Amino acid sequence: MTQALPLALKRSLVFLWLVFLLLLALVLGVALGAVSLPVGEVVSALLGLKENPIVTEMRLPRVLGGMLVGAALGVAGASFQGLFRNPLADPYLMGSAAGAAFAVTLLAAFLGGLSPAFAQHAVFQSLPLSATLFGFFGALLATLVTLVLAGGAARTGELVLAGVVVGSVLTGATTYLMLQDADRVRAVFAYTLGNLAFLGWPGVKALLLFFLVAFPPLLLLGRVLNALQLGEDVAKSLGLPLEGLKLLLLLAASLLVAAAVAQAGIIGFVGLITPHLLRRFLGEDYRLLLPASALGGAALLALADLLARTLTRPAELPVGVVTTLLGGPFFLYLMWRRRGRA
Amino acid sequence: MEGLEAKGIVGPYALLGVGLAVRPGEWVALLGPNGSGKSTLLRVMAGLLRPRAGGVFLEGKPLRAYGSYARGRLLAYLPQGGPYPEGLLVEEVVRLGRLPHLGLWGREGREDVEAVEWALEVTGASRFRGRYLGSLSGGERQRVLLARALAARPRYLLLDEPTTFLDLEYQGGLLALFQNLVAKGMGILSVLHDPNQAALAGRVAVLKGGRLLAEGRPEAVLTEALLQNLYGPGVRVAHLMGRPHVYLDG
Amino acid sequence: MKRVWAVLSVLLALAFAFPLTLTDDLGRTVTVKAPPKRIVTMLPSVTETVCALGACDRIVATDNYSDWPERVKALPKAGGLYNPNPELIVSLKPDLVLVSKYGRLYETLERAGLTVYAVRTETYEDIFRTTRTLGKLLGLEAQAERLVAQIQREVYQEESRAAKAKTRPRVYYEIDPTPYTVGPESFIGVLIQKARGVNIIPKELGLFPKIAPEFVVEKNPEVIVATYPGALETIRARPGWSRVKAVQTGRICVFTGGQDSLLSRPGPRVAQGLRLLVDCFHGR
Repeated sequence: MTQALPLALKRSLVFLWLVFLLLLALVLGVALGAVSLPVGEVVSALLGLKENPIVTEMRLPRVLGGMLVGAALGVAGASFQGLFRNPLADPYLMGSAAGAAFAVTLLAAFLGGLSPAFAQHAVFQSLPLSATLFGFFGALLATLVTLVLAGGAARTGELVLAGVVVGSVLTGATTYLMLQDADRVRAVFAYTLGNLAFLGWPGVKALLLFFLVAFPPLLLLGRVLNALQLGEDVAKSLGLPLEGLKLLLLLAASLLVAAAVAQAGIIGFVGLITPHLLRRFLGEDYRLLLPASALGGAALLALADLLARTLTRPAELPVGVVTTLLGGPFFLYLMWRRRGRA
Repeated sequence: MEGLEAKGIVGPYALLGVGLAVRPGEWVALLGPNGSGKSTLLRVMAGLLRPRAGGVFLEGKPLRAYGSYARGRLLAYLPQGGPYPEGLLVEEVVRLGRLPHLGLWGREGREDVEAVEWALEVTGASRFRGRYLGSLSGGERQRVLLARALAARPRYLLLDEPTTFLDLEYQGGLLALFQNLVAKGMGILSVLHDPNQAALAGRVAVLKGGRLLAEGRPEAVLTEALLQNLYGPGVRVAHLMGRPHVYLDG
Repeated sequence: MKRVWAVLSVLLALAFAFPLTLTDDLGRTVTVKAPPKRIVTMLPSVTETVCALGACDRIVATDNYSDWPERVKALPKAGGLYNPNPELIVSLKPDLVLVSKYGRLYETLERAGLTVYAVRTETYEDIFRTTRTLGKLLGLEAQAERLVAQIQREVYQEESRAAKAKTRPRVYYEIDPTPYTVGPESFIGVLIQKARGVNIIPKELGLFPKIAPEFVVEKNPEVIVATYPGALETIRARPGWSRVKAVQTGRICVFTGGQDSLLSRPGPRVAQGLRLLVDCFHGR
């Protein structure tokens, strides 16, 4: 019992830290931007004392929407990793994000005729709900194809290989669809590198809706994910109706991926890095890891977007470039440390 | 008829028609060379694999007729090897054993807490209950996984090579624990690779090439002829204090 | 008699001009033995210039995007900057290939034994420099001088029309909805200035920056120009942009379907592009 208390304390501290980071991201995200606004003006705009669309219509929904995208990716990443018992399973590497992107682009191509890259922006702004639902089937299908190609999820190497292949094929198809619109190469890159620039209140509402649909069941299945870590045989022997539960987990995680991709394009590494980082502090108890990944992913993406829009202000970097530049080296560092210990 | 009973199991894999039963208050050791179908038979009897022919009966009723949670409350299964949830606390791992009683949404009650405490206690795992599973030695980890299986307070325990990774001292402790559990009415079926450990069981069943080669009391089954048939001509059997002891002639 | 002299003098001039050795925009030395008769152009602005010099009938193939004048649309299409079709080019046996200075197409073609000249056309000044260079390469120097003078005259006309306007509107120019815009030192940036508009983008951001939307809202442009389909709906629907003056007053000019080429190609039709901007900024 002497050991359990400091551990509980340590875990509480991790959550306090995450909440603090999230609040920090919120405050900084609203206070800072391409345009320098005095603090007083930001506060009075938030309180509704003085109108300022930059604060209330642009920064606030962008920060909150970015947080929801990050939370969705973090939770989806943790769920995939737990579900497939594979530390590299994330929406990006599993091809599921690329599947959602392809489906959303396909929808846009049908709606927008010859100009999918641009109809897509119209899709985000006018049809955020149907775009997500469409993307949901894309994400699901891509994940299933990846699993079939990999012959299950047990072998890390095969899974990553299959995921990369599926992701590349789908990204290629997405690019092809977008390039039907002559030489707008930049718009393609913008989508495949993620873009939060025009996330407004409708997007935030759509994200919130899907998050509230998909997150609670995942949270309730934390103990199931824990049991899955003992292997499928043991989980089954404990009486869990595994096939149904795995499908439910897959559906919920895919819905989160689709909601994120439909609003923000493909943003890599958040889903991979967030649970990995938190595992170092919280262990692998998914009842803790899932909510922590939501908080951590939210803070991470909001801070990354803050960097993306302030580092070169008033120009912007694609947010996916920032997450990849931060996440890539960090991931290599984790691998290097692990090798050093082994 | 009380007990967990497999009848005429054919397939999957190597099994070519095997019948085996374990009764309450009885420890059965399943012995056989690699590839003889021991682990497969164990998984069939745990309800994890469906045989091509034959059936498994629990307390006289087909195992399939039980709901999955009811089955989980009566049968606990401990596989050989991983995966191991290295990032889970020992106590958390053992509490997962209560899932058949809790279902998906149940909250832990006094009975659950007591069962977990008992399982940690009898396996000697309570000392490291607050540590991560990944920080334990192989032997310590094996005790935790056994505690997980015991936490359901099952009527029958199906164990696949439970003594792997254990040092000699704890191997002895574990076998004593089995005898203790059996005395209280539990039925244990354990796959073992060491005939000397099997000799401690109440009954030994020997599997070879997917068929039951012999079954009975250890001293009747573990003869030099049978063991040489299983493991080669260098195997010898001595009898010490009425029990067979198997060794290799060097 | 006069005509004979004229023909003779041209032949004489040609005899002295060729073989011609020039340094192209990649710094390569290119020798042209005789005035080229079979030309492949891999840049839309170069296609336009060659045709404006009266040598359209010498072109045997163009890149995918060349679409002016009308007659080049029927020519074989040899791909674009990212997906060129060197096999097609080689099979047409051209005696001169005009390529962009970007990409590695020239290496492939050179290995196939073709004469390749790399051109850079990015700035306003490049229009005249490229016209004169092409004049030399094609043996049409006099025509090139006339074309330069004509373009400058047309541009001057538009500039003086713009000069009559009393105000200089703040302008935001969007080339795609990510949103990417143009800096003041880009070709389009120079046209905005000539049309007497004030680009809200500072020159420190470079030629084609991805801009923060809130910066645009803060700068509150009076006119927005966009060159992609669906721009009007996209821009109007953006969070916070309903406060932008150009959105409120409806001064959003969308140029698509060929009009955008007038603005994005530093070529002989630059004055027509400028006219679009002057009309947009100051009315007709």
